[in-house]
Amino acid sequence: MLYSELFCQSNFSFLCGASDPEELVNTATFLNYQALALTDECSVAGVVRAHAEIKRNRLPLKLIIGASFTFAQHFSFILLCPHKQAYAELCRIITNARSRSPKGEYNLAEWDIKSVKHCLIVWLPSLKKEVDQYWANWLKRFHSQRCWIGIQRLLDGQDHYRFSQFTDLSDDYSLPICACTGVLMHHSKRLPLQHVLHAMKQRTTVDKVGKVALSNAERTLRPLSKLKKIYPSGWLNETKKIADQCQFSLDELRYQYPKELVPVGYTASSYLRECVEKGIKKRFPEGINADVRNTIEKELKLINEQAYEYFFLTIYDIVQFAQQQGILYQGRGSAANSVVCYCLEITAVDPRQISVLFERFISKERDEPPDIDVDFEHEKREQIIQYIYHKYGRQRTALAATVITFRFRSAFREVGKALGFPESQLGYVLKNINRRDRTLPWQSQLVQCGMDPSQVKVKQLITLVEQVLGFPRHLSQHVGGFVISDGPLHELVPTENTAMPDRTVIQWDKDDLETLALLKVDILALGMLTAIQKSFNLLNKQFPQPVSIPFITGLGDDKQVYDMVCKADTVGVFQIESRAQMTMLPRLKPRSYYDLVVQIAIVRPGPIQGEMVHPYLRRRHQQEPVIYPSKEVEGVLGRTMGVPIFQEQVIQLAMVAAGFSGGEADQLRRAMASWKKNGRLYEFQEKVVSGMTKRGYEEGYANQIFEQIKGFGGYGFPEAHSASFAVLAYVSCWLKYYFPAEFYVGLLNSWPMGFYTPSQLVRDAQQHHINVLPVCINASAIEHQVVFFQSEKAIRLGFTIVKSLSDKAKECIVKNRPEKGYQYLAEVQQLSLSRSDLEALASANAFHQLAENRYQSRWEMMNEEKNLPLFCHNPTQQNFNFAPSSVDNLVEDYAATGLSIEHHPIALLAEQKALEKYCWASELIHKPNKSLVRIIGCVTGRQAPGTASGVTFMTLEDHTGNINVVVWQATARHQQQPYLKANILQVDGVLEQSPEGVVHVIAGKLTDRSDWLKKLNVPSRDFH
Amino acid sequence: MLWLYLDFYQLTLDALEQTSDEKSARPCVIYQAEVNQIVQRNALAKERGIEVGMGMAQAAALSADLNVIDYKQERESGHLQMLACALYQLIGDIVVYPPSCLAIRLDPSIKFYDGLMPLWQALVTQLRQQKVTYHFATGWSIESAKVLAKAKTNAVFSDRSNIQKALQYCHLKHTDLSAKQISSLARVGIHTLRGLLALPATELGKRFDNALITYLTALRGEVYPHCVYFHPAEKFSQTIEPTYEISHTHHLMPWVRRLLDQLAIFLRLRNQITHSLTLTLYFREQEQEDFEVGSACPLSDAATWHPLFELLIEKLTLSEPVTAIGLSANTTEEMTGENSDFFSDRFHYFAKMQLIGRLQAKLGEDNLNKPDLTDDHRLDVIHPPHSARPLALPDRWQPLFIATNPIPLSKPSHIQFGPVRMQTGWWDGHYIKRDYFITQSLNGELLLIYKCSPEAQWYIQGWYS
Repeated sequence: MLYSELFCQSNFSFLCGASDPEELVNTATFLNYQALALTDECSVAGVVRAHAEIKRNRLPLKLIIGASFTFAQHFSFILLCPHKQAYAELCRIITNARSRSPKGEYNLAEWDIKSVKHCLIVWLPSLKKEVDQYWANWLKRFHSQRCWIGIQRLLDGQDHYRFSQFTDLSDDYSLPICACTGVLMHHSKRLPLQHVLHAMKQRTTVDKVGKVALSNAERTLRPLSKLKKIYPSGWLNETKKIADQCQFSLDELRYQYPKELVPVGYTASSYLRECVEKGIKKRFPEGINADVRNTIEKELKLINEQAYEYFFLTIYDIVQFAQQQGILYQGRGSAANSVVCYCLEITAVDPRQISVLFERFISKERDEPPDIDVDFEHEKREQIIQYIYHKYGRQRTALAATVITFRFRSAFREVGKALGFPESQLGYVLKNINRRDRTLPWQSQLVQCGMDPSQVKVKQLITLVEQVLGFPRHLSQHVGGFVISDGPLHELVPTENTAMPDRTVIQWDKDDLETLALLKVDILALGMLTAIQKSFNLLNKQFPQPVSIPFITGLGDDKQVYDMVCKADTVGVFQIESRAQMTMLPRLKPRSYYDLVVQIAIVRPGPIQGEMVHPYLRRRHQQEPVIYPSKEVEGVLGRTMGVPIFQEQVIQLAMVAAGFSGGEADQLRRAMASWKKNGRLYEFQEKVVSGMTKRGYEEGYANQIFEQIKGFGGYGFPEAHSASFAVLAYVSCWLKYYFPAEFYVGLLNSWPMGFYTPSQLVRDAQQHHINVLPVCINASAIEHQVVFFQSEKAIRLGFTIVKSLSDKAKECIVKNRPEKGYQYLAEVQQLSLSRSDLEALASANAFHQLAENRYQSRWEMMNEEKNLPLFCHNPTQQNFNFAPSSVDNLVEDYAATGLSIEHHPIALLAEQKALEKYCWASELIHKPNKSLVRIIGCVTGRQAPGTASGVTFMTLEDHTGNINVVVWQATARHQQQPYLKANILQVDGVLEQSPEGVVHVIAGKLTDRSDWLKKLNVPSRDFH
Repeated sequence: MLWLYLDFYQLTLDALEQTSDEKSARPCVIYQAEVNQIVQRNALAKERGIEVGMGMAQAAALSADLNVIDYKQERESGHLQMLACALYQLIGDIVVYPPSCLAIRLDPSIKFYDGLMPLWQALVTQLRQQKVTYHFATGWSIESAKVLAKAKTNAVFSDRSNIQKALQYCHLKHTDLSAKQISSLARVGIHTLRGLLALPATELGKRFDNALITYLTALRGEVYPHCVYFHPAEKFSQTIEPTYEISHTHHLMPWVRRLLDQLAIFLRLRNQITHSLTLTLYFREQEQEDFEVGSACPLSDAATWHPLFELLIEKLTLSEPVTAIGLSANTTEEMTGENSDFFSDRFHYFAKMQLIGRLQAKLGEDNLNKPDLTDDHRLDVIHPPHSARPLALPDRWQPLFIATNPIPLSKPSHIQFGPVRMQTGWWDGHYIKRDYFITQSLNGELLLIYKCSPEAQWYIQGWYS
């Protein structure tokens, strides 16, 4: 007997289906089904996964694409796609239904169903006689040739009525009957999960959901033997007839890029070549050598073979627009690192400097889709997005989806609620569970939170949370992945509304697009590009030679810049600014562009968890020989001294050492990306280890390689991205070294971005002997500026630093400023600024030229009478005698601007208290290793990275610099109060100084000194 | 005028300690979720470094075994009302500031107590009996006493100079000024009342709205206070919230008894009787449930109500733990000779209850059945409906008479309908996996029978009428 299940919903019917598409197709194959129709509710979001699983495992199962719908409460039906036109029709119907509703809902119109011309219809009558007769008539009238009655036998006490009523309908209206189940689970053991999902949907608990829940597990994939028993054979055979008609496969989908990109008279190939040739003249004005020419030809040939011309041309078109608008951008990704991309001005990576990278352009062998992400200035990305929408129209453009899945927190909270645990208890447990504690899994930590894992209910909670992890919850929009097509996009894939107005999103995510070899263009935002562009703008006002990224990279590796980098003087620069990166810099000592590429990739969870950092450092400093087990491995790992640092290397290793084919390597890459979600990576362990041992590698080495692959899982950093990031890192370092004032101003004017607050950036600028001048009503502009002060470059803070000052006020002050500046407070008061604006300026001490002190000026500004012309020149009465102390000034500085130029809390403390026994940040370097020190500082950061097994890295700031403090888990546990609460912390500890000069203080005793300066509230960046 | 202001800053905690038999051995906090703040904490929590105003994450990090109780303003206001009732016995001029403060005008009552200190001592004694902690102070106006109490002055001043002196040092955060006003003043260096009171009203008037000026006038005692004095409730309604959740009905009775005792005092003081009480049970998650208990004849003493409540509680099944118990008198009457009517119709309700209770006691609870609708696929699970949605009538195949304890099928029977598969109830320990069939026995009875697996025993679940 051949049976095809025609009604099956996966977990992409959110909070309804309790199995994922992969589980469903695997089980259907196991049960010998002929075909399975995946019919999620008004959605095809899960079909690509099912399709991919069938292809990956070569399952002998036909996948039928379809969707289920309910119209006007009682008219439920399934649409199935026999061919491509039907599929386009289904996509159109879903798109229409979704576009009429807010995100996550749909609203069919009768016309939608009437207009079905190609899809097959399986009608699921409602058991309401009159309603069913109406719709039977309707279907008979419009779709008599393509309609079946779907009958479900669910052993729920209704089968008898269903059978008799539906048979009557079939007889009366000559509609054939087919059997179907309405599958919600691949296996009956998923019933509890289905109940829980249903309870979540109903916003209630499983014990209260009552009779609307499933009464049994019959809505599962049932064995053929059982189906044979419960359905007449004719109904079962009918499913075969339907399945035989359905010949559509997702492989048929072909994606056409917008044709208008290619001018008349050109083919895509010839136009791309012309653009490249034009680019060669611009990028290589002195001409190109034979090597570069060969590479270009090789790349163009590959692009042509893979038919990727339109992809490159689309990005070319977008970056051309960015150039016209003066928007800074940078391409990255494997395909971006090609000479073609350099010529098309997609990237600024000069191939002559880093030729080593260009071997790994598009990998035909690995069968990966080309990957180009383009970062734009974060403040101007919207312009690019609007350009795309404008050029191609909303019908042809949509964002890729991101499937939001149940993560631990949401899973625990929602499953717990559905099981009836009080919300306060769940909240408490979630706050106490440390997911980063690798020694104690969350399940075991429940005991400490008062949940007894031996209790049945707690056991159920654990099991169900584990099951639901990774289940899709809803669709969201990808950060910037655009899909642009030649024809209407909804013929290819349904689109739906997002929470953001005027944005549409397709129902597939980036993995789905990859599976179907559909290309997306990533339009991303990067704050550092904004900062760099702003610095360039400042420089280009001063110098005739325009400074740009290619200009800086064209100058070659600069020794002095790298000297600065090696000293970890990198606050504010791109990527290598974090504390972990700064600790690594003096150890790795980057001296060239490629060193920076390695530096950026090495301080990542992948290499750290794979324990690759120390071997690399030892080999780099010749403390350990560099040995390769084979020539092939040397070819892959040669450039990183035998240690895999990049994701691509791991993939290549699997190919050359373990004999993976291109397709298998691509599967490994995907498994690595998602192994935290589905753990599929383990499927490759056997293949990697046996593949390597077969090829003569030692088993120990093979296991070590697999451990490293695991370390990369979810955290791998591709060399291609690192290469582009390294360019920006270098450019920002170059700016910081040669033009620090412009660099800091660029950063401050682009904030919020990066790792550091304006306060920390300003302090760093001061430590680099740059004068920072306060906000002044007569000297400041809206933004921060580079000015000359005492014949040196200085930074004048702009009005943007003043908290709660409106944009209108900023403009008004600058626009109306008299030539000689404001002479009286009353003049400013006459500008009709709001009182809150005036008060904000006063508190920021912007009136220091006009008033005695900020209290006085604020008091003046609060006087509403002064806004009236008659009273504006009345002298202030002498009844207000408040003047701020240094501490008051400090508090006001922080409150009004978030930073203080003149005062540092620790400096103030040092003035008031005898702190001779304390060691300042600047003195630590001169202390001997292992000496006992007492330090004090404002806590500006607490970081407990997952890779550091419970260690917290604290940053203390005193008036001379930053101090790195390491707090072991035991120390933190025993001194929780100061560890968690202190704003000003005293640490008694042991100084550790590495040979490279990296200084840490290992915390012993922690003492909270916040009360010494209680009013001060220095913001701390905690636990990122 | 001389006002006393009492700030019961941990009223919820105090109330919990009172109802608990022993002092809590665990750090305990009262947590206000809407603002993510700890609002009260016990001494043990304080020792661990937990402070009022802290967020939950930080508090939880400081103490892993923290007992967290949700803050409910209504509950705290209820406790305050009870305190006001207690103090009302001593002094009449009480103003209630929910959820946790009282102001008491002392000057008219001083003469009855022969001086301020004896009056204060009487109040302290009553407060001690109530086992509450508080900050207090006296002032020439409610506002001044309040500022001093909030500033934890804890002093009873009788002369103006001392009050004035104490006020000078009070921080503005203890006043009724808005956060915005306090911040505005702080931003010009004014942090205490001393600075604020030194400024001429005209200058303040140019910079602040009338509310600030009005407040300062009230603080100085320059205006007669606008306040509504407290009057004890006319109707009895009280709620007790035990520190632990009650899962078994037999633990309910002591609390009910306590409430009944309070009711008796309430009624006796007013010479009142009632014939109907409502017991309200508050649950952790689900909606509260009310149970009305009537008496054939109006009663006032606790002892007579006890057995009726025992009857009620005996037959209750708690679907989830009880977090609080409330008791209210629905109607009260003056006690007169006519209340002694034993022969009116009201007797029937009581009689029915009594009859049911007695039948249950005599025959066993399982043998007493009545028609019921239940929102559960399982036929033998009966619990009160939770949802607001109307309950559907039983499915067509379900019989009218259902045995909650199925009976093994001993005689042959012919299958007429089925199977209906039931596979549910995994969440509450009563998981079933059964195939149901309708059968006809040899003597013509229509039965609903089931078995759990092909080899298992058949059971009768119900009979069709």
